[in-house]
Amino acid sequence: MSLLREEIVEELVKICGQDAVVTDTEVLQESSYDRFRKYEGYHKVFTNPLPAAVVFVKDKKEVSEILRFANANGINVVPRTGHSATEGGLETIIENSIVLDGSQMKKIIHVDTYNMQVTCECGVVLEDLENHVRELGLTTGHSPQSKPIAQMGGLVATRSIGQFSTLYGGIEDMLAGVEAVFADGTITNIKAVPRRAAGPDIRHVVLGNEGALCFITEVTVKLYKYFPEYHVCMGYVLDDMITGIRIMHDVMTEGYKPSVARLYDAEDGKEHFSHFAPGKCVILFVTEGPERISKANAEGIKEIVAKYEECEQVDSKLIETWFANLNWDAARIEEERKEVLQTKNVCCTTEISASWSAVEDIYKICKERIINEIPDITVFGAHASHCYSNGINLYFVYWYNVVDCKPEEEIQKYHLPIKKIICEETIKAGGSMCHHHGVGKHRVHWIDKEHGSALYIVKKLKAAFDPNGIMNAGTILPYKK
Amino acid sequence: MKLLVCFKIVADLDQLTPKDYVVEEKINIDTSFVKTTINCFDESGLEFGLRLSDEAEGLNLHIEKSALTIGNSQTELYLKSLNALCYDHTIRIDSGDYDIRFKPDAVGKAIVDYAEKNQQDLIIMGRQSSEGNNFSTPQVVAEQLGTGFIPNVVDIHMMDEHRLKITTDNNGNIYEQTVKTPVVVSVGNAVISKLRVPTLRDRMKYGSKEIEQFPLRLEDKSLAGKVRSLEYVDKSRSGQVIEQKGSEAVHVLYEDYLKRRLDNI
Ligand SMILES: Cc1cc2nc3c(=O)[nH]c(=O)nc-3n(C[C@H](O)[C@H](O)[C@H](O)COP(=O)(O)OP(=O)(O)OC[C@H]3O[C@@H](n4cnc5c(N)ncnc54)[C@H](O)[C@@H]3O)c2cc1C
Repeated sequence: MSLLREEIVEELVKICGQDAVVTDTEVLQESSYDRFRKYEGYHKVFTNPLPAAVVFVKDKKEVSEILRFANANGINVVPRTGHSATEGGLETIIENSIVLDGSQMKKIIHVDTYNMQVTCECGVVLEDLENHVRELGLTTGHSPQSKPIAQMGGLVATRSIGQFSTLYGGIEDMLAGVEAVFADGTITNIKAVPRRAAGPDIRHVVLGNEGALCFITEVTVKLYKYFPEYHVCMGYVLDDMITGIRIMHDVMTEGYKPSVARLYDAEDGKEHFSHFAPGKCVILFVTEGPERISKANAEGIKEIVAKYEECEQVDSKLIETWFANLNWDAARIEEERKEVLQTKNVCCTTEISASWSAVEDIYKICKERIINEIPDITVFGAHASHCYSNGINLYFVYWYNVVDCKPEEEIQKYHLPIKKIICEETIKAGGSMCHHHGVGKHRVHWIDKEHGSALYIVKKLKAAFDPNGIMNAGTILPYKK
Repeated sequence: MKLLVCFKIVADLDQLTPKDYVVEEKINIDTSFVKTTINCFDESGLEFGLRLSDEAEGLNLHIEKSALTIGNSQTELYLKSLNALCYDHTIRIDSGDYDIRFKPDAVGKAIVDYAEKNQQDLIIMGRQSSEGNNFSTPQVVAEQLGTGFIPNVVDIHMMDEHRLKITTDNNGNIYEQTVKTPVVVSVGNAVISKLRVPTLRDRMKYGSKEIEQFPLRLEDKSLAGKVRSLEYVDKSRSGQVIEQKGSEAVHVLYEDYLKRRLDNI
């Protein structure tokens, strides 16, 4: 028989103390959703059942005890750190869930400047960590737009990626070691080593688990020397997105390594570059590292772009200033809330990846279908911000006016139909429907098509590590009662 | 009813760092590398225009809406967007080589020229803009047109063909008044601050609609005075880091800083 809300709270207080357990209604409401339901949230409409409590843990022992308790009693647990999730990963879809919050675990445990790695607790805000190591002339190389908000546990749990990914990679390339607690309370520590071949790479069980397999308590990431003085920033305007994709292809396949390689189509670019490139696409690169490497990369890239006559170089200050204002902090989210409430104009995104040969068609068909099939669209655009030798990501950005519909109907009327088109068209073309925001609870509808025969592995992982299904139900895999 | 909203496109000065404040030869600060926006008070004005139009429709009335800006070709993007939002006329006055940044008389005169040729019942303007910041352009327009003027407007509603319900905020005191047109209003911290967004379809549909160009004719008197220098206003405040942590820090904050201030209240 399931426990009553009061009994759950009582046990949590026993484990963590009164101060660590919050049952205030407003906090519970805010903890029942994430940015996927931001439109509902801005209107104070909460469609998910409220959790029993939010518990702020302070160490792995508490995490272990809570998970053991939840596992024994079939209580759903939603792990959380920075609360910047965008795909419903934080939604509490089951009555009386426990929101297990690691944001108070914010110690930077050890900066090892000789072995070039840093170990910290899961609740360290990436920007704080980055500022800390920058003072030592180092960088983690990780810079997602949510850097001022997102925390290390969540960043690992979602397989996040940052703006400098073309040089430093995604979090999977940065993560050296990790400590995690599994559903039965087992504490595991995957040691940080440069590389090993001791069976499958078990970091990848933890990376991207989205709280559906384990709770991450500690993270060790690599460090790199930081040479801001040698950054070279280059920006170009051009007419055609497809030409831009081909330039990106050439840069990547010729072997150059910019840290930033981004391409915006005219519609998405309108939100960023209308002061110097109205109606145009924009392509930009940053190279960095030691002086000679940075310069050599920049020269090689310039040579490639020069072959495309339609590209016109712009003053690098335009790009540098834009970059300096790109990240989102809490104040910007508050600004967005006010704006959305007044205009009923909402911005949502879906990010995918595909091989070079598939991406052009995915771009064209998604654009055509969404503009024609979905009502009230005000902007539909895309940018590519992460490049690989074998393909690229596309980050679709769409804005729509919410017309004649209640806040709780917005997702069904607009966001999900748009996502459906993008995910289905991408999978059909052989790409992946999730490049870096994770599956959350709103891309599970297509998870079988995403993985095909490999879904077997995902399901087995879930069954093995979370046999009672208490870890973030409905995330990555659909919830079945 | 004929309605004119005047707006200005400004650089987003928040994106400038202090070292970007370099005064150039023409006593100008280069802001070309930062994003532009509609001046915030004018943005409220433009949305008021649309909201009044919606209200008029409900009363079976029609408002002919015009939006006017003085600026270079960069402003056309915004005017196009206003076309897509169904402003009946969008007008650009090119200031060319005239430097009228700090000349409310000249700006006012340009608007008055247009309004005299195209009679208006209601002119909505923002009360100030980040550049110039003189608070006086709407007054100049009202004075030169010889119409009534209402400052610090925070809300406007349509009553009938010739009357509006206008709310103003005078140092925190809220007044509501019924006003007969013609009138010039200057919008302050209004109840609405954001302009609605046109759909992609409307942008495509109205994309080629004409933006009217109106000439700028200035007399010497409105151009009198020359900008001699510009200085960066340092708005930074001093701060101190409390060394202690947790409740100890709160104690120090109270004892050493807040208590003294509270005692002085
Ligand atoms: C404005 C904005 C910009 C963004 N830009 C980027 C970007 O550039 N790149 C990018 O990759 N993402 C981006 N994101 C998405 C988001 O920031 C990332 O997914 C980030 O990694 C989430 O970290 P978080 O600490 O906020 O996690 P949360 O939001 O708290 O949680 C995210 C997911 O991870 C799980 N989780 C959280 N903590 C743990 C833990 N300790 N153990 C196990 N599971 C856990 C949660 O259950 C949830 O499923 C952006 C989001 C916003 C709002």
